[in-house]
Amino acid sequence: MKATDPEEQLLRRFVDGDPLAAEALYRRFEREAHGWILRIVRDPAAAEDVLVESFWRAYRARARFVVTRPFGAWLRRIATRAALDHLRAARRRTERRLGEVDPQAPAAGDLAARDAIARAFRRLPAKLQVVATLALVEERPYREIAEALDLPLGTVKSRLSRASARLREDLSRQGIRP
Amino acid sequence: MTENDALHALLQQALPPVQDRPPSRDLWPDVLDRRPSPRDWSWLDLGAAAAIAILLALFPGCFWLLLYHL
Repeated sequence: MKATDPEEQLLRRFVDGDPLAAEALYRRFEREAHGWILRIVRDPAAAEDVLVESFWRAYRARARFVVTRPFGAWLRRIATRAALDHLRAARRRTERRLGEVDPQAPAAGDLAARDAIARAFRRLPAKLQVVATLALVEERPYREIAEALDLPLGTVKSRLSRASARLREDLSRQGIRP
Repeated sequence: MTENDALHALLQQALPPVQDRPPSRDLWPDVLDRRPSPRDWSWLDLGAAAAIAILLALFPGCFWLLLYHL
């Protein structure tokens, strides 16, 4: 990339703290980042809060951004961490309520079973939940997940395996056999 | 169907993939609102103001000294 490249100039202005450059980058990446966050947090209102938080974190961390690297991938990593923080906070808030296991064993396929599965999913530790959401629900490629979480591919696979095992264990305690 | 496929199918039923959609409104002003206002009073400013106020209440004669230094 040449020094006169307008893209690189924009990124340099962003790194220097130019709010207009930050806004230009926000406008360009808002939709993509929002879609990614929404996939993880699965709640439109929360996704908007996490999007704002992600851009604010990116703006504060701008000095660490390397202008020759892709901005979208860097922002996605920040957004993934912000979404993870949101999941951890949401889990802490609802831990007591969700900690109670439903004494009824619902039949798989009905509404109660779907609710039990969703609750079992949300009971997963945030770092396992995010991998399981992206891999099993959103069917994103492992490589993409690894890049967004800034983790080796092997760690993503092992987290997915742990998430699946914990989900099976939780569901079988509720009488649901996947 | 393997155990993994069954779990996958169960999750897809309970948690269908989310539809991609744009934010409901322009969120850039919210990002800007996160910036600390330069006019905000810091704890240090408030502490200094409180210390001066206490000093003046206890020793009113210091007012002229303070005025001289301002």
